[in-house]
Amino acid sequence: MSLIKNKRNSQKIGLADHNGAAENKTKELTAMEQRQRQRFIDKATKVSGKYLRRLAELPGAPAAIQPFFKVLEDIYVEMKNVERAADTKTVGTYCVMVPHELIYAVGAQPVKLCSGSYTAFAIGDDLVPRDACPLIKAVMGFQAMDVMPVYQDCALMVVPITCDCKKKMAGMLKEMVPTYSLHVPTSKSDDTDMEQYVQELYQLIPELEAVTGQTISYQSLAKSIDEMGFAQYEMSKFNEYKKHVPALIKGTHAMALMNAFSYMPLAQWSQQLHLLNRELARRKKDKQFVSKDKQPRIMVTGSPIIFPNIKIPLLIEETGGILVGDETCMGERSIYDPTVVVDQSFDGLMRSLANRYTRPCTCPTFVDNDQRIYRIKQMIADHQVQGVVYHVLRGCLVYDFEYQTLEDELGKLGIPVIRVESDYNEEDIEQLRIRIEAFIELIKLKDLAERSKK
Amino acid sequence: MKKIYQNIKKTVTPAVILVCVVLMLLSLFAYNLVFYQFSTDATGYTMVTAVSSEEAGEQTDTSSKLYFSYDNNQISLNTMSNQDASAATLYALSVNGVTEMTADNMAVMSPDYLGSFIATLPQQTADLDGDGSSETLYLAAKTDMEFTQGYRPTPPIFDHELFPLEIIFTDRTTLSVLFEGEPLADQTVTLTSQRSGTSQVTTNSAGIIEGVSLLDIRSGIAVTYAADDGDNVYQMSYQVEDNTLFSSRYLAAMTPFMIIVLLSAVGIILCLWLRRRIVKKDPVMGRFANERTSLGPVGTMKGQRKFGFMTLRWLTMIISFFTLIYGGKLLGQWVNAIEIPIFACPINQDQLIASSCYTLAHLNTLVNLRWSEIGIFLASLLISIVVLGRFICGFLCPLGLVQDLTHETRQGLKIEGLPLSEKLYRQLKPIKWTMLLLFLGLSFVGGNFCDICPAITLSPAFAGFKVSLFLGGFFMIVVIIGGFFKRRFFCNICPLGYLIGLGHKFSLFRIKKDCQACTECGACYEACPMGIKTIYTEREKTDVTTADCIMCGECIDKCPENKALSMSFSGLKFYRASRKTFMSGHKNSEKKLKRFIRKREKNESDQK
Repeated sequence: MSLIKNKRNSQKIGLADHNGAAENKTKELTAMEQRQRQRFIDKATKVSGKYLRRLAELPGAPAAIQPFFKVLEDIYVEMKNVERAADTKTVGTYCVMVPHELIYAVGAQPVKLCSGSYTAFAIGDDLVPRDACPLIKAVMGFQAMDVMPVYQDCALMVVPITCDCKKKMAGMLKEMVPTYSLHVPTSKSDDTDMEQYVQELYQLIPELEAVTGQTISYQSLAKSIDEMGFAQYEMSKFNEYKKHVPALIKGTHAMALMNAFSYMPLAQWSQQLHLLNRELARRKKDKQFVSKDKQPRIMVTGSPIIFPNIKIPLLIEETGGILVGDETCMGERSIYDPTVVVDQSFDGLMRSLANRYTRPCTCPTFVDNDQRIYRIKQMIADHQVQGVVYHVLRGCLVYDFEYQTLEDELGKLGIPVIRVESDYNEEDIEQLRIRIEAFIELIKLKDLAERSKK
Repeated sequence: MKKIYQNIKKTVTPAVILVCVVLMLLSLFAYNLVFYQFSTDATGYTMVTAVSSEEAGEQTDTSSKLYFSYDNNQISLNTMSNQDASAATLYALSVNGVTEMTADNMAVMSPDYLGSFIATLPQQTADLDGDGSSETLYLAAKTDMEFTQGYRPTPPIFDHELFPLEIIFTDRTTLSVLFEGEPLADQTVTLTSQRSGTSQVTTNSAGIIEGVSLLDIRSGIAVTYAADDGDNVYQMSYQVEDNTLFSSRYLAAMTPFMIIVLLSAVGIILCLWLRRRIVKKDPVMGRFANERTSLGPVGTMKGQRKFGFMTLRWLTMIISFFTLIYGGKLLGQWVNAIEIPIFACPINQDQLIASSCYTLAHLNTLVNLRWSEIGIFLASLLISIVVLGRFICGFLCPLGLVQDLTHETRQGLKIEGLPLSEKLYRQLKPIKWTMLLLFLGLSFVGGNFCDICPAITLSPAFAGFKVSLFLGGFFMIVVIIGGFFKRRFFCNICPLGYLIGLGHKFSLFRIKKDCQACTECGACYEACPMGIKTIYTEREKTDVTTADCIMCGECIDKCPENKALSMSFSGLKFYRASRKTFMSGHKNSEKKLKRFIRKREKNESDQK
């Protein structure tokens, strides 16, 4: 595998000397490899640019959402890293169980590295087994190509051991870059599960501290929890606007906003969100809506939807639906649950973090995950959802497992569900379009029938 | 059946059995484990005879002719004239019966004295009612020292040969009159009180004068009874030793409580030191020894709500603390008959509303009570359980306030607590039952729950009553140290609270849950001082009230989901969880951000 260039250094790049890793990485590439790399960059930026254009062209984008698009453009098209002070180290995280508060508390910048790139997926396809999920393939592709600064500049990767793919990914990443695997309890009903995660977080701290050289203190941790809390405060206001009927903002735009969260410093993100909220408030006052009265209100749940793989939300909104809610881990879920501090001690803060990142988490990787169904039901009620699109990435077994129960439960409520399986490529886009269009037509007809009954 | 057996096996571990047995043994010998004993005799007191400024010919107010008064440890017998002073004879109630006091006895009182004294004057003749014929006037004064006024089966009674009329004050509530050894039944007497003047009152069939406020009795009273068609007038003035607030006496009464606080502080420091050692040696945690054990680190959490329902709760608790402890002294007792089940010790008779815990802990005395009294006791208990339920624990109980204060101290110092796990909470159940058994049953086997009860150290001391402490004093230290590390430690094993909680199915205060809105984030469980796990795992019932719930509202306060949890009173939801109020602490940051944005926008427009 000539592609896995940085594997060569794996022996040298231990956790201890990852500061020197940057120098070790630069090794002469062959001309072919360089061409390959250039082609990769061209293709990746082209795809990302296309989806950004489609995002921007989707009517109804508020002016205040442009900074979020700009961030996505910077990362995926301009190939820049996160905008931050020059000496700030970045820590790559995956899934939603890594407490960003801890990373901010040691003075580093977290980036969420779960990827949705089609181009990287194509590379990663050769590196991991065929049936592995595309997300892993895309991550491994980026890692192997060694061109994305967001990936390459990471001083440490924190991979929560959630589903099988992530587990094996952690192992593969470890061969290339400093990686820490964070053990997430497999179940959450027992008190001991949460207690165990507290211990895990305590063990994560020294690793993070080694990255920046700063030690965590009560003050820094309290500050970062507060900052995250403020982001969540703005987010909860944004959620209130999202509940408005007719809609004030398109769901695809909202998803772009949540994707931008991965690559923005927290304070900046909440500040931009505040401006967006201000604009939405104005829209609400001026009755400037982005949806019509009869437009079917759709919700997306299931496997993560990560930029630039936003074909499903785009399709929903391009074929006449309005995406009102998303219950995916790259969407609302990643920031929805607040950290509830009940004990003001240092240990109390750690407990509240462990609590916030395990108990309310609706990730299907947990053994017991009934609460996801209740959460979806509540979102259906809150957002007056008329249909649910259940997104399954090929190979994402854990989400596929939960489809059956959800279908049964929502059947009782009379909410139609459609299971949409997709991969990280554009080959299935027409097929998806037909299915989603039909689904939306069905809801429209159902709605019409209900209205005429009245 | 097998499942139940396994459950029991899981709950009743050897450690739990050991705790229960130790509790039982200790409670049997509670009286022998003295924590602090006040002297229950007159030692240390002196008695003097004083002559108040003599006003010639002033004969109208006979009640001020002879009376006792207190000044710290000095009892004065006040008379109007030197002649009276020398004529007065003093008797004391002692272990050997009634003895006459000599001048030596008065200066240094014998430890035999039981704390009740009587003074008589020789008969006088005077025309009291101004009808021309003169009446024979018999004057006497009686006093009871403070420690004689507690709950006693037999009140201090003098020999009626000494003086026929006698005022008897029992249980710090009942005022009765004896005449020649028999209750003075259905007679009209003149009651003179220093506080509210003279009135004609009629005694009931048991010789009890009803409706006299405690404040009147405290101020000093006199009862005048005209016997034999008004020819012989008997008058007795009566003064109890008052527990004046904020005097040296008051400090003396507070001493045991102060000792408890001091010892608790020492205990807490020892625990912290021990933990520091343990944490330092831990391979993972050793690194965090500094963060975890330093006192009051800089920095605070600002994001969460500061004011709201919890402020109301604190206000209620503080008001309840003061009204329960000082209410009677300031306002007089409102309702004597109604007793609410609360651990505000009724040995402090100044409470606005009495507590039924004394009766519950001494169920064997029920047989001595009249049917009406039993009826009122049971009715007020039942009404309290239905109307208030464990709302009492969360909002009214003084012992709860003390524990919450220690908890807040810990929060303020940012010392970490002792989070109990589900398993430990489960194991508390047998201990709770043991406590309940002791609470209700100890009186039948000759014990006294008051000797173990930690509440006895609190209310009486604050009200200025000198109450000797036995095992309860030691227990209170455990309660304070426990309450410091584990919020509401005692409430978790409180027998009275559990007794109220057993009736939670009928209680009007309820915790409701919208099972769909709940995200199972577990914040309520983390916040719950009673460790009720069902509050977040429940997915079917809308009512999540349990026997343990003390209605403190912490779960609702910490719930970030709109309307997921709420507190209701007879179906009316008056307090709901809401994300907006939960996060209201961030409003300040928002304001700051708004200012910042405005400034920036202004700058931008200026540049253009």
